Amino acid sequence: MRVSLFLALPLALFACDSGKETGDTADSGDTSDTGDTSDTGTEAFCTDPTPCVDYNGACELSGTYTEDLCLTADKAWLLRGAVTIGDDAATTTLRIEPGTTVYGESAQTSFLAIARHSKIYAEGTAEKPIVFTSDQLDGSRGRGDWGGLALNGLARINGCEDGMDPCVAEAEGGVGQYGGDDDADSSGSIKYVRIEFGGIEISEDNEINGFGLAGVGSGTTVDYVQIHAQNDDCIEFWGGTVSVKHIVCSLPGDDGIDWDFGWTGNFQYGVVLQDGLAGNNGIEADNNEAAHAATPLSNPTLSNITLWGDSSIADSNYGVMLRRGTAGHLANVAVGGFSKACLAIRDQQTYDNFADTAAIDHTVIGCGAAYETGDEDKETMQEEDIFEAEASNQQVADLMLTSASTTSPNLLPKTGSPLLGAGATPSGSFFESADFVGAFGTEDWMAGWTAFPAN
Amino acid sequence: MHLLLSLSIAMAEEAPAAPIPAGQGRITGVVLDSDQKPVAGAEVRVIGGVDISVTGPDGRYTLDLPPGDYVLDPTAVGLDPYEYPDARVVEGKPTEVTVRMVGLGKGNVAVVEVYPPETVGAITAALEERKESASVAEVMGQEQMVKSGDSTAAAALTRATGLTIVDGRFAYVRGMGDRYSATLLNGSGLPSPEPEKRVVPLDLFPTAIIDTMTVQKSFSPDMPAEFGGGMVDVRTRRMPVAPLFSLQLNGTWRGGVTLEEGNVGPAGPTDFLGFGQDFRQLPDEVASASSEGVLKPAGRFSEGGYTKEDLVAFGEALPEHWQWDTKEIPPNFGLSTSAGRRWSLGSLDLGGLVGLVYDNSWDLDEGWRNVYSVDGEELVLKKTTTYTETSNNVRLGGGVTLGAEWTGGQYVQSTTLVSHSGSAKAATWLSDDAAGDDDTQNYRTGWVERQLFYEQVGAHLILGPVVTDARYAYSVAEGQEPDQREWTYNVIDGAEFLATGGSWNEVRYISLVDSAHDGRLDLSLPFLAFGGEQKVAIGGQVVQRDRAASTRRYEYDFVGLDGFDLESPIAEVVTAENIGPADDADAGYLEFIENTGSTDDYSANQQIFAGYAMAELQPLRRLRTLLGARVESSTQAVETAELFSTDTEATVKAELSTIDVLPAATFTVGLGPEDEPDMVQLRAGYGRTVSRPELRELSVAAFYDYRSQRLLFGNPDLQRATIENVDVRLEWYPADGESLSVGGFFKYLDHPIESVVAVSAVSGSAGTFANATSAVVAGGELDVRKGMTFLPGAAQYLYVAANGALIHSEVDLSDTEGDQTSDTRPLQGQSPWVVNAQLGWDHEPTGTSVSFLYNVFGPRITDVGSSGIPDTWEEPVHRLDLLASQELGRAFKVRVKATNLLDWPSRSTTGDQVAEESYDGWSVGAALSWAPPP
Repeated sequence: MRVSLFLALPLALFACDSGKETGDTADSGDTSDTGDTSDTGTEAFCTDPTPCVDYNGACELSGTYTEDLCLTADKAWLLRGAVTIGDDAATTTLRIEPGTTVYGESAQTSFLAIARHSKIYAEGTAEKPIVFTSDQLDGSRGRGDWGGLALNGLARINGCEDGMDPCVAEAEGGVGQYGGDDDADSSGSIKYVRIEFGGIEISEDNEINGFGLAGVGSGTTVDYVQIHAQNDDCIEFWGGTVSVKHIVCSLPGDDGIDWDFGWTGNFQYGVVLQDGLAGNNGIEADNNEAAHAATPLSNPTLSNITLWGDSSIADSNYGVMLRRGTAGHLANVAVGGFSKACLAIRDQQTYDNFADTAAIDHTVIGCGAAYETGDEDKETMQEEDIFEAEASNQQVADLMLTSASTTSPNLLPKTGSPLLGAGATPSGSFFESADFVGAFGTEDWMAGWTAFPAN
Repeated sequence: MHLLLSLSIAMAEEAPAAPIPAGQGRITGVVLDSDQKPVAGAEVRVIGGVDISVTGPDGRYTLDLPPGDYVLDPTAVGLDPYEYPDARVVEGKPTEVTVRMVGLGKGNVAVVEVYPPETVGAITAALEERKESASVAEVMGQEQMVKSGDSTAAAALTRATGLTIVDGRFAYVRGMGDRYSATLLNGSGLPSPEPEKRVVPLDLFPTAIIDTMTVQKSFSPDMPAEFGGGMVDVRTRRMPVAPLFSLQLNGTWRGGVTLEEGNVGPAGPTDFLGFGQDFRQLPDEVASASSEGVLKPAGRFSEGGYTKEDLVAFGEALPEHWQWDTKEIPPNFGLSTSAGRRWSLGSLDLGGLVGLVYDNSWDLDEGWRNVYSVDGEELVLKKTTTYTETSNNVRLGGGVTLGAEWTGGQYVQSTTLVSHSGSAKAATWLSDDAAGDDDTQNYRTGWVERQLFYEQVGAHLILGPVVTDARYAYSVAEGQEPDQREWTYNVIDGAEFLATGGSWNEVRYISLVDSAHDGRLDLSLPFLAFGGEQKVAIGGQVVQRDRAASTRRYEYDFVGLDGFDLESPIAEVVTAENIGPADDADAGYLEFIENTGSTDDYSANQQIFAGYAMAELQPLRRLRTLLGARVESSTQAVETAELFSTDTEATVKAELSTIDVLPAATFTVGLGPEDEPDMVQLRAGYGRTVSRPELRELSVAAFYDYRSQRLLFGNPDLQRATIENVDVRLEWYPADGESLSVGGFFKYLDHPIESVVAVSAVSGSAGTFANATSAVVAGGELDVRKGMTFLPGAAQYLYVAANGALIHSEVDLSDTEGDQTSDTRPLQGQSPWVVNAQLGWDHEPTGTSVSFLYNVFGPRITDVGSSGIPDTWEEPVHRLDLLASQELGRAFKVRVKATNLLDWPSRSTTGDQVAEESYDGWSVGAALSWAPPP
């Protein structure tokens, strides 16, 4: 039998809020009435807004919710401890109004998890992004102040080599269970969202990432998401089929883009930008650490990715680290600045997966060292044999990006950059046509909705 | 020997034999011990009779009785009746009946329980106890332990049949693992000071205060129901017959350890006594703030909370215990002393015994370990970890027994035992990433302090025809691990740089306190029937057990690296000056944060109510039976703070309540010659027992187990397992001190609790617990002891002793979810065979003794594989020890002990690859003891 880390809590929120509701309604009476009244205003985002449970001026969210929530932008929402949407059985929906700020309490191990079967609709706009951030005052914020946003879905994962069908696993950080047999599952839609100062280590090798997608299905929309100043990875996929677009990973504490356990989605337009304080690999791609051939095999397609490392980080710092049996297709990836090397391929099965197909193409690398020269890298597994066999790949001295500043970056290629006009779009309807290598051609889709605060 | 007693009795026995009163007859005779020597001070009566005759120095007794058939009931301090002789009294005539006594006894025909005697247990006596025991038991007397040169109980037990000792500390009976073992002290349960372990580490007990250890392998209804492989019953010594004083000094040189360079962390002023907590205490201001909740900075909506300045002060308050040094390791040394005496006040004897032991030893544990992953069909090396751990272990133990004894072997007694140990550890773990270049060097320093306090009061009373035993024990077992420190450097091109990300350092304070109240009452009624003595017994037991465990974890995190030299020793980096925020906005600093998780604390308790009824019957002269049943109810509850909850009062509770009826039946058939039917015995026994989850295993909360380096979470749905046990054994006692026994056993475990690997994003590192479908354990045992008295000259003092066990075990996990590779496999830790052998020469004329001891166990699973990675097996380790001793005059004795002469590697394999290798190293020690004759 499986162990759930959470017991379904009685909805304390709704049980005890009646006394407080009057006060809160008075506060916000001009923007929205309580749900029961005959307010039919077409402007209201929430037809049944979640009432505020006041906590020192913020509206507290805590525990497991089994009734739908709708968070309005006029209130400051505070995640206190574990906040889980859904009981891992029925569908509970969380909607968040554009422009809403949700704080994670740093005195607790706070995070927001969407359980299997439940959904989140956090759809901001370029002008009014939805922000998840630390409850510390500006200037005092830092990596790891709170946990992050975790989506658990019902798509297939690997790791159950013996018997369990469908494979269901316990998520990192104790944020619930994930995995199932519905590859088309939807966990909702996330657009124009920033997640800042999260990432917490629960125990050794067991962390809550900034944005964790565990067994998330292809019915889910993820577009325009910035993950900023995390303690752990920015975005991590554990199996699943979800596809994502326009992802900005700034100042990661560990890896930028990380996948394991059989992720098979698509990824177009992505940025990883390191500072000199922390960080690891730009992409860290695994199939399964223990069993490299576990199925379904990690096999995503990524296109138009810019990975910019900080060479002052001495510790294991590669642009792209492919290992532990992953497959995949990397196209139009621009890699530069990493201290160790731009490209590392480890383990025979990984190597075979990438050697069999032209799995890396239209990719431009420009690091101090192009390829991993680890002392134990087998001679039969040379990165250059894969990279240089494909004529569209290039090694350059300089990617010619406009500015890799960590406070106001402009990662568009300068005129004459080798990235411009060097790309070719992978097949598949998911991918927009783009003739450049890296995340940007001439349009800065990062502008406006992102932010790069140091603390 | 029985000087004091003899004096008090002599006067009464001075008169010549009186004439037989009219109308009566007389039974008279001599009471002999197992050496055929007369026993002074023995009390002889007939069952149902009132008069008691006390023997004088010649061992003679006399009883005048009306004519009729009687059964004699002898008692003597420290001795048990070997038999209960029949006697026919004829009017006017004396009848001569010899009464034989043996040294130790348990489960005899008439007496329910006999407490450990004051005499040093002899091998002969230990064998006699096995012979008399209604259940299958192994007994080790102190003489055997001393002969083995074993300084701790664990070392001594290595020599008993079917026993394997793991880590030199935990006794696995029939190799069944600690889940299926239990420890009693003088018949009352003992809690483990080690979290997540059930078995008590036997190195808590120095041999000086132990009289005997019994390993009970078959169940009888007067024992606790939680009984799997066996029960180790440690019995302490009581008052001596004659005044006793002894002093012993010893020293040991360890190959590869002594005078080698070892690592040491910060050392406190009283560490050498085993008390190091004061030096490592969490500062009061941090402890009191931490007890209110996790130390985190206040947020924009917080009530109260801490300012950054508060946190800086907390961070600076922790002592800068980051020292890392090397030291030449000194030889091991120890001393022990014991004293005791007895006072006789008429028919009342008062007395006691005090023992003290101090021991200071060093260990240098070096080895390496490989971790593999599966790439296609092939095992690929993932990383190699090379470790060295230096530990300095100090043990300070004391025991006091006080008692009063009076007629009929009745007594009250108190046993107080305090065992305290402190261990300073300093370890390095160099992890070489085989696939890439994530090489790290990990440093750990720490202090582990364990203490056991145990107080038992007991009474053995004869109330009319009823023999009454009442016992109450209170025990507190504590494990304290203050100021454990761990930090990591990245190794880049041979140079070490402080790792800056994640938890690159941690300071931990771990505490676990287990307390238990254990009361039991046993009543037995002996009576005569079928020409022999029969016995019925009832009893009850109540146990209340409580545990509180807590962990506090802190860390210093880099915020900016400007101004830091990462190649420096950590002691120059984590300093008060560097804990910030810094005044200079651009400078890097270290931020102090608390990592304690809400599941780091838990409390648990258990209540047991039990009652039993049984009968020990001898329907035929050659047949003894034990029939009975126990009813036991148990309630276990675990409470853990709710993970990530805002409500500090919110807890997750798990509870398991069961009531079990546990029948048992044992049959012993005497197959020997007419005059001594018990010389050859066939025993067959059946019993049902249970295996309950360890308290922590019921908690849903995930916790990081620093010992196994794994994330573990319990399972609130765990059920207790039931075990059907069948034992058969044929024993032959050709002469005193010689025996041959052949046995077989079969156990069926219904839904045994097994640790399994959870499917988890925390790759390969999460474990949980589940009830497997079933498991079977079956095996055979052989035990031989033989003297060489038929040989000429000095060779007749040679003897051999050997025992071995063949054990098959298989657990069925096919219906158990999890990512374990093997669905059927042997039980974890179960060896398929175990062999012990001893060749010795005991030359009494010169007081010389020499013996070789050999021990080996078969391959056993140490780590259950997952995701297609095979299980990891530990290969057999052969061990040979040499022991010699020489008496010097009447008071002095010198002993020499050379251990692990083969220095066989301890090696584990995963599939066809070597996973781990380490060497224990040989050692040579000498001890001088002084025990003036009384």
